[in-house]
Formats: sequence, structure tokens, C-alpha cells
Amino acid sequence: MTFADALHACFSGFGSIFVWPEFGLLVAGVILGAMVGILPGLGGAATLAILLPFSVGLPPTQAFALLMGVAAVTATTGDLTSILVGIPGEAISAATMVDGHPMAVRGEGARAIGASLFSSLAGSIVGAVTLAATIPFALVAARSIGSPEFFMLSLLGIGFMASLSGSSTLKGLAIGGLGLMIATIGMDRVGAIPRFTFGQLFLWDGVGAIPVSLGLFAIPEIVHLVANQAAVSTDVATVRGRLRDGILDVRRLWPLVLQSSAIGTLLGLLPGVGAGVSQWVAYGHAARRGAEHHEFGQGAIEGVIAPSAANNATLGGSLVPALAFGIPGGLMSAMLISALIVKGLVPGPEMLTPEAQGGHLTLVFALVWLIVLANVIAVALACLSTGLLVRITRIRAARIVPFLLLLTFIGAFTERQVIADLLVTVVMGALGLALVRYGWPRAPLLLGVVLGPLAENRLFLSVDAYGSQWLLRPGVLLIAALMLAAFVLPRRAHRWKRQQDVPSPPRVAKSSSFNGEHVFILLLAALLGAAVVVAASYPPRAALAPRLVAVATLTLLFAAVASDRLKTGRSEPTVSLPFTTPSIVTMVWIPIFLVVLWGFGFVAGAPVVVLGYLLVTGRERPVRAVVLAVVTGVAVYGLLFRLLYVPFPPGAFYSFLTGYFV
Amino acid sequence: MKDPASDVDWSGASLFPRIGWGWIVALAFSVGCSNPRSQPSTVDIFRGRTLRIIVGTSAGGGYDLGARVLAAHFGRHIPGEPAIVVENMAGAGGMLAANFLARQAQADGLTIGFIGENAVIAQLTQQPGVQFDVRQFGAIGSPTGNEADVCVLSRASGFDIARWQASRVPLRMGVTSRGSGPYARTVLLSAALRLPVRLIVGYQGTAQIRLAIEGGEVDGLCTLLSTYRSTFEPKANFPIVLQDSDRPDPLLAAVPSAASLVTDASGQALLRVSARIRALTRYYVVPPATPTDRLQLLRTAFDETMRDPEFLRAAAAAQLDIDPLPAADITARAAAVFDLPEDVRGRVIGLLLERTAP
Repeated sequence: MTFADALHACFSGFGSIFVWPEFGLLVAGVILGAMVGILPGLGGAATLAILLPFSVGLPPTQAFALLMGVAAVTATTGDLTSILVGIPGEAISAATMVDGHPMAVRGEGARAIGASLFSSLAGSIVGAVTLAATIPFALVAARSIGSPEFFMLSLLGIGFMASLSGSSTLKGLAIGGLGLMIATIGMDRVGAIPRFTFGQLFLWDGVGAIPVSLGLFAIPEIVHLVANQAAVSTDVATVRGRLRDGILDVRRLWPLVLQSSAIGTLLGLLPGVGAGVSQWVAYGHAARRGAEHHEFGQGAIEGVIAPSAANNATLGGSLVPALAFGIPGGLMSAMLISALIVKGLVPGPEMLTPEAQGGHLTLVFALVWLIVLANVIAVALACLSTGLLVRITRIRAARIVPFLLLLTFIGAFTERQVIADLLVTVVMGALGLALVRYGWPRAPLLLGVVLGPLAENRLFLSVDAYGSQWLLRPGVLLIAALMLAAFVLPRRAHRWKRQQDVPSPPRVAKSSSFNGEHVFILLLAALLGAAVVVAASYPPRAALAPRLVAVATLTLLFAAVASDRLKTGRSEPTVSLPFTTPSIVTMVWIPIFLVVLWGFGFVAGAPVVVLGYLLVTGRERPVRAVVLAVVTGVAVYGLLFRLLYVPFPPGAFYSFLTGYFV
Repeated sequence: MKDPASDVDWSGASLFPRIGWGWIVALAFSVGCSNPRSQPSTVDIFRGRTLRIIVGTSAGGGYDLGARVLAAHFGRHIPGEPAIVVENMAGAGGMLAANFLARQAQADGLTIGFIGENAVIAQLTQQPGVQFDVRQFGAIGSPTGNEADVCVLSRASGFDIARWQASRVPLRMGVTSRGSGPYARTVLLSAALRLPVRLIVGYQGTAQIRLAIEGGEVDGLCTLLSTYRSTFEPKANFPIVLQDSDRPDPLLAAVPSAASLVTDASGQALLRVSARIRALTRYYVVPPATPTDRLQLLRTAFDETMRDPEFLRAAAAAQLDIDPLPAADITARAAAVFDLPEDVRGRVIGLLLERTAP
């Protein structure tokens, strides 16, 4: 492939999109993808699976215009839900919520949206350009990265837990350890040993990232919403002005945008890592970079820009191994590989060969342009509708809560279509409430859940394939040196800076009275102790990771408590979560939603439970409540069950009555 | 400004205070929306109904794609032309779906399952959690029942089958997970041919193993011929050194077949078990106790679909090999996997459960 070939393919690819019906299909895909992104849990990958059979009869460029329209924008609009209502629109949008939602709460939702949209656009452009530029070199890179390097990279990611921990590194690491512990639940692939599954088959595949993220972040946010507020925000600042502020933030912080996009693209290049990880690594990088500001977690604009750029850049990066070798970087690129194969296009060197020589280079460049154009269209649409979107934050809490709870449970179900994941969400919600109430960070737990399986899997593959020799591979040594530099240098700089600043205040012991936080810590310690005991019954290899992680987490937990007691009062800037009557009432409704949706099914149960909440707790006027419930029923049945084929199961009560359980 | 939330009575006492007309409307609505599975009384149960295909894997992979391509054409051949939807019920290597079909799905012909060898292996090795007997399902047919296994080694390793058999160093063979079909057949093939192997278990797909072969992390793998064809490029870098099939592929005439290399009865018995499992790689079933007339309607429709030119075109476009196996053959082979002499059965289970590492 010569430069002239590439240039020709680049222009041809661009031209191939601006014809009918290709462009129309792209816009249709973008609109569908934007909707799917906004609705929590309805994933882009599942939508692609539904669209795949419909694309079979279309020529390749038309099919990919539709599919890339969906794939490229779910992260962009998923960030909007994270910002506005504090529920991750997509699993890959959870990090945007950490700072984006506090901004919405204080009336800066439009500014956060502006920053998120334009950093998403920048990220997608960086990812797409990287895709175009690196495909020819991808084969060399892929061959040099084996399981040992993957393991080291996952360790590097786990190291970012410290960056996500606010000012209490020990607490963050302990909670990250808890996440790694949760990640050991499920079938051990090597030994075929079910770990911590307690006879439940749904746990064999582990605990899904979506139920964990919805439980940890959405449930506490919903409770927080009703605790002391009438709405997410009552700010009345002009949308246009705020949106422009966000765009200016992106321009001002362009080095961070580029760095985060680079992080997203690079992690996208690594199969199996994906945007679920890159968003947090970029967030951690932003937090580390701006360590002197203590706004992270409370509405720092950098905390919105970094993950938004990274999660969009990841798609472009993940398509490199997908197109060059057929190796999916994540679920979304796995779908796109399926689409290629359906079109009779085999990923490999032919994808890099000009059409004149029997290849598909123009199509590759068309994909690059589709990523960029899809995001341009999505950003334009979102900017035009920002005023409408921001109004969501001004709806009074009692009216919006039942819909947020319903969306949370629908989102939890749709990832794996397992009804038991609703229970996982509630359990994680309880954990999230405790973490927020006692000022413990939540992000490291999610990072542990995402990275744990990758780290364990790659460690055993490394040991099995190379023995102890894996430790001496150049790539391993290089990443180890990078890790050392990443963790030692900032600490030295921080220590030096502290020496320049005023001396630390004298340490005063905290009150020794036994409180709810102590109960919470003891409960965690008991669970970890029990895990050590249960793991003793597994074969040594299957037991290694859980026992090691449990003991390390217990140690960190007690170290965090000891350290906390030595400090002046509470060092962590805690999120206020008073358990007021409204919040307690809403907490009671959470299990009610669970039981009704499980018992009556989503189609029948959703309108019932929404109506119940609106009438009983929301004190809504009966006519309006009934109308809203009917609209809910129609949306769940018509839009989700019939149009999008979300396979809601019949309720357990109906199943029982109609003889399912024989 | 008055706080709109101040009108809300948040007291706990208002949680369940009244059963108003709103509740009655809601309950009536819920009853109206429910009862999706009442028992039909006529043979023509498919008209205007929706038939569900339960796939035991997540959306995306080969199983899912196969089911979705079939779903687009199957309905035309069923009397009443029902709508067909594909539902993914991934979990526990397909066991969740198999358990659902055996224990919960209504046996009315409107729910069918797409299951595979993992369920067979789980039952054979008596995995905890198995609540089904694959022999009780009513087989509809398999789109690909005549698969072949091939063992592929890295070209750089320079091994052929003779050198492999004579090697004193075990070759590292990449495998996805213990209990999977490729794992079982790699174990059985290597035991039958006395091939020295060290299984490196835990890769997340064949494409990842291919990359590991290229990087020198493993020496090769054993997989289905169809998977090899769709996943390995350029083929010259990944030569096939061994094949095992009931019907040798004419394009692999130069590749030694396992049957020709195994002369002892014990090895031949292992190869037979491997072949029976291979025939059950993916097939469609109905829940136990589905009325015979409905099962027969579905079998006929399936056989017609497998001959439908439109379906065959779509399958070819999706790079799906179609080489159907009729229901009677599936039923016979599913029974044969479990109908083994005690010593063979014991050896097979022992091999499949053997730990590769402490």
C-alpha cells in the first residue's frame, strides 16, 4: 500500500458516505444509537446484535453506515444520562458521572454537557485518526504483546485505584480490593471450579459490570435526590451560555483532551480491555494531574472531559485489532467483526489492500469517516436538544424517582437478560449507600470488578505458557519501570510540595465511640474472613487469587481505619447523604420495585409499581399518575419488548400460576 | 418560591395507605398485559404467535449469528408463519438455557432452544447444577452436524504429526475453557494418539489463541474445521497437521486422519466418543414432553429451511457452513454419548476431569 493508495482510499471512503441511502442510514443509526445511549443499560452491543440480521441484505457501506451510526454514539449520549440524572447511560459512561452529576446538581448541567459532547467528539476524532494511521503497524505491535504484558497492563490499571481514591488512598485501595474480590465470583475458567456461587448458576459467569455500576452509583443517587432536594437542580441559568462555557473548557484544557483520547485509543488497541477500563484510567490520570484541586468527585470539569474523551476514543482503537486480525477489543467491535464476516469480508491483510488489488481499503477509510461523522451528527443533535435534556434536572424528585428506579432495573436486566441481576443491583445499591454515607470512594470498586478477571486470567496464562521466564520479558520489564515511575515520581513531587507549604496540622485522635461506619467495616471484614475460609475448600490454584486478595483487602481495611483514627476528624470530603424520612421511604420502595418486577414481569409490573409510587409516595394527582403509568406500560411493552426485542421474562407469579414450576 | 416537593407527604405512614381506583386500573392493566402463555388447543397454534429461539450464548458469536439467520427464514416454513425472535440466555456455558428448557419453558412448540456440546459434556461429567437430560429434549435438527476437527500447529514450530508423536517435550495447545467442546476433543484426541500436550487454558476465543500462536505463546490448537476456515489467515502460517472426521474433506486429502493413526481399541473408543460429541456441536431442540405432532411440524419446517435457497444464500453470506444432520441422527448420537461401556465411560470422564495444574 503506497501513500497515494491511502490518500485515494481516504477520499473515496469519504465520498462513499455522502450518497443516498448511505447518509440516511447513518443518520438513522445515530438517532437509534443516541436513544440507546441515553437509556441506562440498553447497550450498543445488544442493539448491534438486533440490527445485524437486518444488515445482511445491504451492501457493505450501507450496512456499516447503519451499524457504525449506532456504535459510535452510544458512549457520547450515555455520558449525558450520567451527567443529568446520575445513572450511567452506558457501562462505559460511569466515570463521567462522578464529576458530571455533581455539576448538574449545582446547576451546571449544560456546561458539563457542552464539555462532555465536545471532548467526546475530540476523542472520537483521535481514535478514528489512530485507526487510519496505525493499521499497517498493528500486526507487529500485536505480536509483541502477550499474556505477560497484558497482566502487567492490568496491574497498571489496578494501580489507578489509588488515583480514584480521593484523599484517602488506603480506603480506595481497600474498596478496590473488595472489587477484585467480587471479580473472583464465578466459574474459574482454568479449573472449572465455581467460586462463591452458592449453587446459583447465574453467578457462574460472574457479577456483571452493569448491575454493579447501577447499584453503586444510581441507587445512592436516587436516594440522595429525594433526601434533601426538590429536583436534581433548580438552577435557571441560560442553557446556551452554559453550553458555551463547556465548549470553552474543552478548548482551555486541550492537553487533557488529547492525553485522555490517547489513553482511550491505546487501551482500545488492547483486546479485552475496552472503554470500561479506559474511562477510569483517563479519569485517574486527570485526578492525578490535577491533584492540587480537591474538586474531584464534587464537580471538576476535568473529571467530565477526561472520561468522555477516552470512552469515545476507545472505539477507534479497538477497531485496529478487529480489522487487522479479527480480534475484538470489546463486545462492540466483536459485533462489527460479525458484520464484516456476514458481508464476506475476512479481517486481515486484505482490509489494508486497495480495491484495485482485491482488498477493501476504501471501506476501512469509510469506517474511519463514519466514526467522525456519526459523532458530529450526534453532537449537533445533542446541542440542539440540550435545553430539553437539561429540563430533566428540574423535574421534581418525587415525580422522576419511579422512572429512574425503573430504568435502573431495566438496565440491570438487559446486559445479560438475567432477572437475578436485579437482586445484584439492590445488593450493590446497599453497598453503594453505605460507601457514600461513610465517605468511602466507589470508583475503585468498579475498576476492580472490571480488571480483576483480566488480571487473574492473564497471570495464569503467563505462568502456564512461560513458567517463571515471563518475568524477564522486555515488555514486562518496561511496564514495570513505567509503573514504578508513575507511582514514585508524583509522591516525591507531592512530598516536595508539602515541604514548601504550611506544616501539617497536629494529629488529633477521632472519637472512639462505636458508630455505623464501624459496623460497616466489621461487616466487610467478616465477609472477607468468610471468603478466606470458603476459598480454603477450593483447589490451590482456584483459591490463590481470592485468598490473596481477601487477606490484602483485610489488611488495607484495618490500615485505613487506623490511619483515619489518627487524622483530624474525617479527612475525606464526604458526600452528604442524610437518611431523612423521604430517603428512607425511597429505600423501602427499592425492594418493592424488585419484588413487583420479578413477580409480575416488567411489562405488567412496571406500570403497577410506577403508579403505586406516584400515588402513594409522590402524591401525584390520580389522573396524571394513571396517564404516566399507562405511558410507562406502553413504552416498556411497545418500545422495549416489541420494537427492540428486549426479552422480558413473564413474572414469577404468572409462571407459577401457569405451571412453569412443575 | 414554594418548594414543589413540600406538597409531598414523606411520612412512612403514607406508604401503603389506600387502595384507590388507580390500583384497580393498574391491576386490570397488568392482567391484560400478562398471561402470555396460555395453552393452545389446536394444531395450528403457530398462526399469529411468536416463536422464541433460546440461545445459550451471549449476542454476537457464531451460535447467535446462526440462530438469527435461521430466524429470518424458519417462520416461512412453519404452518401459520409465526414471528420468530431470538433470545440470548447466556450463562454457565449454556447450562442456564438448557436448565430453562428442561424445567421452565412451556412444552407447547413455541419455545425452542439452540444448545450444544457444552450441555452434553456437563451432563457426562456430572457437573453440579445440571437439571436436564439432553436425551429428553426433542431434537429438531442441526445445521452443522458433520463437522471435522483439525489440529493446527504454528508453521514456525516446524512440527508435523510424526515429530509431534515422537516429541519428548509436550506442545502447548491453547484452549478457551475447561468443559468446552474443543477442550474435551483436544483431550480425547491427544489421549487416543498419545500426543504429548500441555493445555494452556483460559483464552477468550479462537482469535486470541491464533494471536498467541503468532506470538509464540502457544504452539497450536485443535478446533473445528469451520472455525479454522473463518478465523485463520494466512493459512500457510497455520498448517493443519491432523484431522478427525466422519467424512474426510477432499481439500484435506494430504492431511493424516486420526482414525488412520490409531490402531489400539482403547484409542479408537476415545475417537468414537469425540466424534459423537462433535456431532452435537450445535442443534435445535424443544423442551421435553412437547407434543409429538408439533415437534414433527418443526422438524419438517427445519428440514425445508435447510433446503431453502434464500436461507442458503443468507447463510453463505454470513459464512455459515450448512451441512444438516436430521433429528433422528442427533437423537441417536446423544444417546450414544452416554451409552458407553463402563471402562470407556470411566476413562473419558477421568480424562475430562483431570486437572492440568495443581
